[in-house]
Amino acid sequence: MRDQRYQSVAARIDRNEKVVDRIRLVFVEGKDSIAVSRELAGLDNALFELLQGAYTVERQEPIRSQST
Amino acid sequence: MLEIYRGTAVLLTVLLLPSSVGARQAVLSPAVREFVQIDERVVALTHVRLIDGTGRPAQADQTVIIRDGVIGAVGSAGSVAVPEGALVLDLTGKSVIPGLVMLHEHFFYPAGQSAYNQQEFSFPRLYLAGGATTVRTGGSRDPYGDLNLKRAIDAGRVPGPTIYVTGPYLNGPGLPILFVNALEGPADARRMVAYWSDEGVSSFKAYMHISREELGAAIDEAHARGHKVTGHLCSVTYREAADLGIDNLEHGLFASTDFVAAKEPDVCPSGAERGNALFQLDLHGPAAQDLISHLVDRGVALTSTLPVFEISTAGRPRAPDGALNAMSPDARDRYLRTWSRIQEQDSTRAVLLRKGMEFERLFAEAGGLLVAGIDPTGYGGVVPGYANHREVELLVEAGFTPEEAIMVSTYNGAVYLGIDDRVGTVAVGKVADLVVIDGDPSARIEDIRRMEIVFKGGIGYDSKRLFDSVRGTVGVR
Repeated sequence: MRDQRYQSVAARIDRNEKVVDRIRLVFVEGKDSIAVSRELAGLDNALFELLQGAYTVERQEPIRSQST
Repeated sequence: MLEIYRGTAVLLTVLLLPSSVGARQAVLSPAVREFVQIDERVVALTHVRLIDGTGRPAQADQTVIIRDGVIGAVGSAGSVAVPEGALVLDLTGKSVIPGLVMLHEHFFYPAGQSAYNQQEFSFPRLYLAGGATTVRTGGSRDPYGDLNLKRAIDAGRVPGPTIYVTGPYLNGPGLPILFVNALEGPADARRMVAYWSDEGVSSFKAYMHISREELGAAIDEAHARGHKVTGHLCSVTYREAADLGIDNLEHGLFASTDFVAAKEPDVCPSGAERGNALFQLDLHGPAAQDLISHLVDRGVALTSTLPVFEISTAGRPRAPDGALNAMSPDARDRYLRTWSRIQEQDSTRAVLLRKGMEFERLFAEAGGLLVAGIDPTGYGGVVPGYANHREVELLVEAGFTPEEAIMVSTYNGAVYLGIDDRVGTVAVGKVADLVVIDGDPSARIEDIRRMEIVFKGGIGYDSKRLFDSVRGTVGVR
């Protein structure tokens, strides 16, 4: 079974150097796909497009686990 | 490797086998027959370790005779004769348990974004492969689909367990799941119960946003028609539901809102409020103990569904490789991504899981009827068959002996369904729903994963062949 690895690669910092956005990339070994945390929505379009150009990007939803 | 031969032994004692009671399915379609490993009128399981479903310790070197789909004799090797001409299976080193009777099952699987796919192809095979010979659905997404699947299995056209179909969810407004209808009051609840009873379902389930008035009406209507009602509750507390006459509560402690401070009547508190209340709860304190006594006194059964809560708990094992291979690529990737994210969470849910386990043990020790299920929903990863095994393992982790955990997952379910005179234990006269396991789950509960043959009505199905037949399909069909 392929392992999964996480890597934080970028953060947006405000004028007080407080992290306001963080991108978390999930690399799935053997596949050119990554998932990006939902905070990405607040980031520059340019960076998002850059990531999309390099990988298959999807916006991660909050974890939802509904027992029925 | 099974040792199989024809019995030629001289009878040591006179066998008083019941005449055929028609437990075996007369006609099996080719689609079912491809999974049949043993289809003989008389089968002898010899030198086998027997875990009979009553909770008593495993018995070594037993013989079980199956005749015409019914258990004809059970006893120690020296006391039970093998009928001449019987197909003899030398099961030295193996164990036999009753077929599992699992009560929180579904024939649908999460597809993300509150969507679900019906799994009428893969799930019946998986349930049977994992030893479940009887299941009760715990709410239906597609009640006609479930009813017709049941009929197809009963008619021998599709491989799978005997299904007791629960109707569509009885719920009020407030749930973002499109297949769940929103009731408009008690008369609507009665109407829904009456309609689906007439269509053939045999039980009902209330859900998280039902009102007390609607629940009471649904219970009255269901009971008048001879059906039971269970609930995955939230807006109604366990105590309130017990007082309204509910028969069963799903998910052990996890769906209880009895301990939420200042809970408003008929309102489902937030997930954070529910979790915090359970996190703070002292299971040995008067509030928890009083609730247990209340449920036991009113004869309310409790369904353990530990696998669906384990998946959301950091530090717990990932689904086994077999389950991963059963998933479609999309379902597998989705599951693995979420599972990996969960590993980064704190230990709150681990505390709740441990607490849920302890509550179930305390409930059973107090005399409550604890039954078992898997609930193959959550965010995915609870794959029938594999999760059947996991539920039994988790009951052992909760403090039950392996024999007790198997009893919860077999006999207790049969008692709840009112079919314990026919299934649930290995006893003379009962339907031959049996599972042959390579190993000794009474010593190593993880051996329960090594199921080889699942007898349903005396017909032996090849567990591995069933599992292999659904590779890559879970999440799709």
